[in-house]
Amino acid sequence: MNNSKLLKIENLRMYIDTYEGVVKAVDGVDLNINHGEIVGIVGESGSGKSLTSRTILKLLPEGGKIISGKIQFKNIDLLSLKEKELRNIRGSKISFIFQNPSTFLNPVLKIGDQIAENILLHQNIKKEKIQEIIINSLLDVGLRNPKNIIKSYPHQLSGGMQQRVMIAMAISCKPDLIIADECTTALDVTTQLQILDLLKKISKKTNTAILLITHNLAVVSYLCSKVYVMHNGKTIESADSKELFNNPKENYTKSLLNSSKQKINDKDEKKLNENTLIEINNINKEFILPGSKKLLRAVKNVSLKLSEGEIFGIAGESGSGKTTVANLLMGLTELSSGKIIFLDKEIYKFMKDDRKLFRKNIQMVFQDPYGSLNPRKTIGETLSLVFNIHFDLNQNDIKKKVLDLLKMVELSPPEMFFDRHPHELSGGQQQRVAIARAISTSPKLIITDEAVASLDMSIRAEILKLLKKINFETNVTMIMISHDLSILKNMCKRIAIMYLGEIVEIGNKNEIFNNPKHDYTKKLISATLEIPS
Amino acid sequence: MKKNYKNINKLKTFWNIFKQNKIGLAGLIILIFFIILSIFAPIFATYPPLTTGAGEAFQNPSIKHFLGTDNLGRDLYSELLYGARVTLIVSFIAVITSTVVGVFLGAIAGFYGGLIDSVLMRITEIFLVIPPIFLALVLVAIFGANIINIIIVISILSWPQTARLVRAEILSLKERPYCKAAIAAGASDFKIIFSELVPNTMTTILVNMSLTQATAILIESALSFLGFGDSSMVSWGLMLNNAQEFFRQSWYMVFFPGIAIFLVVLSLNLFGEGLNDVFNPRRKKN
Repeated sequence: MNNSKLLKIENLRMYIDTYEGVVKAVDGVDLNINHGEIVGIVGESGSGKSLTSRTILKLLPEGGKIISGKIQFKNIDLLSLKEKELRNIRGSKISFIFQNPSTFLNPVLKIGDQIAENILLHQNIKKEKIQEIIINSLLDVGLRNPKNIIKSYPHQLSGGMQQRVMIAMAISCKPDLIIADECTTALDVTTQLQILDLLKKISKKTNTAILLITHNLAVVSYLCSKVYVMHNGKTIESADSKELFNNPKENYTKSLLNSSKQKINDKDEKKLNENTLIEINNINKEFILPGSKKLLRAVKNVSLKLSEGEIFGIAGESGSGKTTVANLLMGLTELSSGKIIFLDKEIYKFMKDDRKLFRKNIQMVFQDPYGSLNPRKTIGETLSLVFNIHFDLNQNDIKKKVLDLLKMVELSPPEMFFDRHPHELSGGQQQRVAIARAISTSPKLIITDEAVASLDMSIRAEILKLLKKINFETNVTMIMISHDLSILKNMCKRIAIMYLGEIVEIGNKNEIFNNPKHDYTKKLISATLEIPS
Repeated sequence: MKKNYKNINKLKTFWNIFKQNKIGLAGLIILIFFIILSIFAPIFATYPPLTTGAGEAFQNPSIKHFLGTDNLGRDLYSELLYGARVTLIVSFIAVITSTVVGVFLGAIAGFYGGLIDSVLMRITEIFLVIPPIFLALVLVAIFGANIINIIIVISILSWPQTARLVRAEILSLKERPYCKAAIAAGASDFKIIFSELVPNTMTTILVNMSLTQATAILIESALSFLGFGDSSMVSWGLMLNNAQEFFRQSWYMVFFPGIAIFLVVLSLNLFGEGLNDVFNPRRKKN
């Protein structure tokens, strides 16, 4: 293995001219990658990690300028190259894999055409030989039906398959370095593990270096031999992977590791009373697929019983039916069969008799914090909506209640947030507002559907703490839905594992983690990467 | 009393924000300019409307006839001023009616889907398919030829497009989490449609308003030209239509009404941009 330096970045600075002044996006980055090495950059959103990777190939955002620094790739000074010369390197010597394969693949071109385009940009190959090369690269990334895939469009493939196609495109010209920017963030845990293993295999087989950019420390500890930590545009710490996780030096790194381990104090384990809050009996939900007459059984024979005040977890990947279950409980979709009994009343009768009371008692926190708030309304208006519907109060009293609510979710000073629009808040703050909305009616049940999936590690820990505090203080029952078992491990007493619409295993969290019975549970647990402690 | 005070305050705030947008302000000024011209046409005009033989035909712009004369010797300047009335009234009423009706029906069709959607969309399609001339013919035959009928015809013809656009936007917006959250909060359907969803279609509605206005002016001119309108009234569209034959002889017969239509449509467009900016949550707040 050739251990000489492949990429060396010295004191890179890239600033962006914006309306509101200069943003120091990359403000002092030093990086070294050797041939065949897998290096990770971790940092939270806004740390500058993605922009650093784009700057390497001068893919600058609007208004961006490289202020200073050196980027040495093999023996070439990348910053001195002209656009034409850079294009020769992009895609052939250094290639990219991005986060959202569905948006980075052209939806109107067949897969085969897109891969061919990528190859033909850099190499002069006859048409007859191209087909063979494409088939081989698809086989190399583990896709088993290359001839079918070549003829397919992106939307006909699953997320994992699309990402494999992107990897195939990235390796098609045998690059020296692959830059993978959050490439597994949008994937299920089990798929993520497969993609990471694939990257490992490729790197070993062809001695290709990989620069992995992610906010997920567990992924970095699984795949990378060397890690850089970025904060505010600077690389503040770098070390061998094991060294970093066992012996972090900087304070920021230490706090990042702490929040990633998500140790939430279980100090006051309160006793649950035995009252059943909600009983779900054998519910089923079927969808008729448009176009064909096929039936999609999204939820199959799911039964659960929850006590007042408990935090219950539902774990599952995409397609498991967990979101459909949430929608059924909320009455946003209709059951195909089965019964749900909430507060001793069957829910459809409940909705008919007293729709407002039903809605008042069951609330939901959604995954996308920005999408769950009306972009045209201020925070105050969004939160007042609930009070206007359910309580008969004048505007001043409502405003007082909203301010109290904002205080409860730790948004202070509340008056400032009252007049702001969603886009002026960070993701974590938006999610706090969403939680405030959920608790504003003092519901008996709150369902959180992937509520922290799109948040940074440190924010995630805070939001989960907030949810635990609310549960402790108000005794509201919570159902937490997530694909990330590590989150549920910290928050829930009982967990149900869902797979293809059914509950495959259900029990106390200790039982599930120490003694998993179903094969899928075992698979899920092993795919849930954790930071070595 | 308190309510009035609150509303005046809201208007003041609105104006404070609006006047910061130069484009919207320009649009409003041009619009007001034309409105004043049309209201005070009798004062500004030099000849009564439709006075043939006010001067010799095909005169160039001169001190006596500011914008020249047309093929029948009518003073173009006076015609333009009086024509402003018809053009503005017809186009504004058409825009308002089509927007109100179109948004209402489009939003309901988009939100409920199913049978309601199908029925409303079929009705929309009927109106899209009817040739305007034919509809005008029917109405004239029944109710006589006057300006009110023209307004009715144009309004009927304008709302379907708005309805379809709004329906399309609502179809996508109702899947957003904040809509589901509003349902979960217990809001009534009406509140969800008109308080949560429709405001988010505002950009589309405003852009469509300009297009509707331009189309309305052109349809009115065609109908008037064919004699379905009130022959005692002059409009810019009519002047334009009339001028087509005589383009070789006098450019100003075409130019001045054309410029006038262009400016009015532009002004509504700019005003719409200004409005859109005022309601844009991402506007830079000072």
